[in-house]
Amino acid sequence: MARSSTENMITLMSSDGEEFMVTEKVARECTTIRNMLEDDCVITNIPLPNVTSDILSMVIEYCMEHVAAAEKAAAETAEKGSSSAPAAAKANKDLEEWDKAFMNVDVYTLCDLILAANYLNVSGLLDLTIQTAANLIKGKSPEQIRKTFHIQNDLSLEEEEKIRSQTPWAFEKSE
Amino acid sequence: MADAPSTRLIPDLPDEISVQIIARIPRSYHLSLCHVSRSWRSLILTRLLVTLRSSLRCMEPMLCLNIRTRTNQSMWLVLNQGRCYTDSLPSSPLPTVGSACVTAGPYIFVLGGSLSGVPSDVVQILDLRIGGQWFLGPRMSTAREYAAASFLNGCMYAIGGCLPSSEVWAESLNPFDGNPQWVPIDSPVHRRKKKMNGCVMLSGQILALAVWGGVAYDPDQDAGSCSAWGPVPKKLDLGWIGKAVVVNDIVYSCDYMGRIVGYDAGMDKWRTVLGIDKNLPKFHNGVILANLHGVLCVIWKQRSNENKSKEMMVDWVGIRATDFGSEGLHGSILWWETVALGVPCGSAIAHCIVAEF
Repeated sequence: MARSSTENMITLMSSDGEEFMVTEKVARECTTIRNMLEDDCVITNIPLPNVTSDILSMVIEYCMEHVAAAEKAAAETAEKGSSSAPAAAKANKDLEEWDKAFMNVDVYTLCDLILAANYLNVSGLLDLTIQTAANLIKGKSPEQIRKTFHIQNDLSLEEEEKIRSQTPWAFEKSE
Repeated sequence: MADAPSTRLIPDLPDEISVQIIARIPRSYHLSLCHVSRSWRSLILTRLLVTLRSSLRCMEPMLCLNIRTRTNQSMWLVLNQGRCYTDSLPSSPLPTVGSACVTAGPYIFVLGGSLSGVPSDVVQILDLRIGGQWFLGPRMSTAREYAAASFLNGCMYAIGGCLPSSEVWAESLNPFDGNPQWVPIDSPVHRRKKKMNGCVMLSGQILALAVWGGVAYDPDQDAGSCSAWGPVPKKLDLGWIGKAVVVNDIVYSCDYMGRIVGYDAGMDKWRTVLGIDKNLPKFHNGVILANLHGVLCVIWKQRSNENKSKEMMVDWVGIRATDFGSEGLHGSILWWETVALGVPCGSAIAHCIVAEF
C-alpha cells in the first residue's frame, strides 16, 4: 500500500518488546490508541503491555485491511460522485470474505484476539471475534463446549437431571 | 458474578465478554447450554441475558397458542414457522376461562378468568425459557373475567373485567420489582365498562374494546384525569371486531366482508390490505392475528369439510404489509403453512400471543 511520506507513523510495542510501525490512521482504528493520541498529540511510541507480538500483528493486519477498504470506498465515491450500489455491495462482500478467512484460527488465538480487541477497543474486530466464538458454541454438545473452552463441569448428577430450581420469578430484579 | 478463572463462564475470558458471546447464541440451543456448567445455567435464566439479547437485537419471537379442547382448557403450544409441527409447553396449573393474556419479556401472564364459572383474581405466569415453567404471581386486587391487559414501558396493566363500580377497575403491576404488587389506577366512572373484548397498544396508549364504545388509557397522563382516560377513536372502534393486532403502528383486524383491514391513526381510516385478498379465504369467524417481529400473522381453523381427519388443522400466513400512503396498504404473503395441532377438531384457540426474548 503506497503511503504519503507526510503521514504520521506511530510505533506500537508489544508485551514481548517487538515494535510495529503503523500509520496514525491504522492506529486510530483502536479507540484506546485514538484516545491516547487525542490526549497527547506528540506521542509516537505506545507500549501495549497486554498484547503479545503475535496477536498485535494480527490486530494491525485487521485494522490495515479495514482502513484500506474504507479508503478504497471513499476514493470510488469521490471519483464517481456517488458510489455505485453493486460495487459497494461487492466490496462489502469481499471484506466479509476476508474477515471470515481471518477468523480461521484456533480457540487460544481467538480468545487472545477477543481480549486484545477489547483492550484496544477495536469494535469491528471485537464484534467479529465474539460472533465467531458464538458460532463455535452453536450446535456443539455441552461436553464439546466444555472441551473447546476448558470449562469444568461443576454440575452434580442431581443438577444434571433437574434443570430448574423453583426460583420465584418475583425475585428476579432488573439490572 | 464471581470472576476467578475457575468459576468464570469461560476460563480464558472475563465474564463480561463471555456473556456477550453466549447472548448471541440462538435460543434453540439454550437448553443444551444449561448443561455446560453451573454458571452457564444460571446465566441462561437471568434477566441480564434477556436485556443483552435485546440490546444486541438477537431477540427471537415465539408464537404461543392456548388451546381449549372439550376436556382441557390449559394446553399451550408453540407454532414454528417452517416446521409443520408444534412444540408443546407445560399446561397452566389452573384451567381458567376468559382470562386476559399478555407477554413481558420471556413471560406470559395469564390474568384472572373464571374457574368453574366463578371469576378469579389469580395471576398465572409462564416462564417460556428452556422448555417453560409456570408460577403463580401476586393476585390482582379483584377477580376479573374478560379484562383487557397490556404491558407497556415495564408495567403490566389490567383493565376492566369486573363491575364498573369497582374501586380497582384498573390496576398496574411492575413485575420486575423485587416485591411486585398491584397498584390501583384511578379512572372516571363513566368510562368504565365490564367486559373487554380486545386490547391493543397504539402510540403509547392502551386501547380496550368494549360493547358500547371502547376505552383508551395513556399511562403517561395523570390517572383519573380526562386526558389519561378517553374514548377509542370512533372509526377505530367501529371497524374493530374482536381480535386485532398492531404491526408498525397500524391496527389490523378483519372487516365484515371477511377481509384483513388496517387502521392508521394519522389518517383515522381503515384500509383493506391489498394484494392478498385474492389468495386468502373470507374470514367470517374465528380469525386470529399476531405480530411476529413485524410480520402480520393470520391464523385460522380449516373448516371441517375440507379437513377429513378428526384432528384440528390450522392455516397460518405471514404477511409483510407496506404502507404506501395514499396508494394504499399492500401485503405480500411470506409463507402459508398448514399445521396439525394434535387436538380434536372442535377445539378452540383461546389465546394467541407472541413473546420475544
